[in-house]
Amino acid sequence: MNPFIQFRYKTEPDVDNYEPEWYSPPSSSLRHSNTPNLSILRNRATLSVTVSTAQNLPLKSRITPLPRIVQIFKKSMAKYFDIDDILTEEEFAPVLFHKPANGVTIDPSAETNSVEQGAKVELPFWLAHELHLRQAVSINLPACFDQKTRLEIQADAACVDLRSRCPNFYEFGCKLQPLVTDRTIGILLSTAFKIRYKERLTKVFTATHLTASKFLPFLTKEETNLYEAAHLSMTAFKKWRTGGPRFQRASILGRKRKES
Amino acid sequence: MYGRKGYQLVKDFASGEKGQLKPFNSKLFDETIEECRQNQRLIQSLMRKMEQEGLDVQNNRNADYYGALVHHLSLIRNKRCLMAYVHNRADIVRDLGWRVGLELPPEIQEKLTTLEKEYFKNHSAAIKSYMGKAGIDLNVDMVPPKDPYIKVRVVGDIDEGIVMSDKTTNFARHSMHFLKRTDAEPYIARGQMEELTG
Repeated sequence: MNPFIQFRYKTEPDVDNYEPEWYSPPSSSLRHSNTPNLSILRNRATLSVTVSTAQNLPLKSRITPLPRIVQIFKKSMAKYFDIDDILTEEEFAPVLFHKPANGVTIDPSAETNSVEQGAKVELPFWLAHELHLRQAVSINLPACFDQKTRLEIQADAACVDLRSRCPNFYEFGCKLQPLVTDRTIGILLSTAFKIRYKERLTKVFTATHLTASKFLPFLTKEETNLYEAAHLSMTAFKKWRTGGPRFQRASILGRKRKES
Repeated sequence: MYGRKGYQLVKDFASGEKGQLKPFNSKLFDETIEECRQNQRLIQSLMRKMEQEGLDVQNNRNADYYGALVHHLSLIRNKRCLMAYVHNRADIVRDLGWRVGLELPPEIQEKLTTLEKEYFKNHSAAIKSYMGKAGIDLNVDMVPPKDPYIKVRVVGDIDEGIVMSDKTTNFARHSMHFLKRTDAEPYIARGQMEELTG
């Protein structure tokens, strides 16, 4: 038996009731809602790698925790350059126009270059969000949070193919939650995540990487990050135990080419 | 239109394998800027229309205003995509100095634009001058070695006549050497040598 697995389970004996600190929403604006704050999910993932790889990596590649002020800044503004955040905001959401708009071709059914009042259009989230703030549109629930998905998640969340519905399911849900009238998204997200997280955690420690590729396409972007972090820390642990070459070719150069 | 090109640009950056650098997509980059220009032209034409109708551009909320707003938001969005693209690449370029060494191999060089090369040059110059002043090479392994020498095998092409700190050797491919760790490290990082264990 791998001692590392025992260690994991000893510290987290009750996975069902195990609540990582990021389940409770720390941000005051979200305190009233049920939205789990998943924004630090990615930072978590990097940290978990650090713990077990710190021993056998050169110091320069270790990730040290950021100072508090930088963390606060990162949460508010640094998302501006965040590639995943940009991609999340490109997801489409159906909106209802309360105001007409001229000179834009966003309504495919309109005959002129304009949007009528009361038109129903699909807009990317970044546009819908800003227009919503100016009371020009109201946002409806997109297809990835429809009744069918909910029923599937209720049946068995672990087996639902969330990636094909929305690659950034949780982040997108968190962004949508304050803007739509439906108040159940928060619960949906946190139950789905809890069940799926438990499933992945056991898989990553027991299944080999090869068999894991069967369920990898079902995972959302956030879950893949977590999965890869766990997988990396497992390989790092194994490498540390068995030993091996200390120096390696920089990974940015890509895989080694076949020698001619 | 409406931030499509910017999205494609970011998507192009994200679609690459993790931790790998893709060639700078200058075609898509220019197209995004062109889309921004179109947005700007349309904003201006809508604003002019409102002025001609004698309306107060600041406070009026008519259909033209919302049209202009959509174009404005698209422009801002494209700007964010452009900035994120350049910013994230700059991150990688800075990181290269630490991972690959202060001189870049040609296969990385060709993926960078002139400006990025310039940026890397200035950045490595800054690191070099800092290390010169501090009197220590920060780019070597931080863990104290058990043995100052390691056994390596040459796997790439290395130019002849390289003088290591203690001797001159002919680094023919597949030959094995016993080198100082600090001498061998940059070659291993660039994939021209590999460490032999055991």
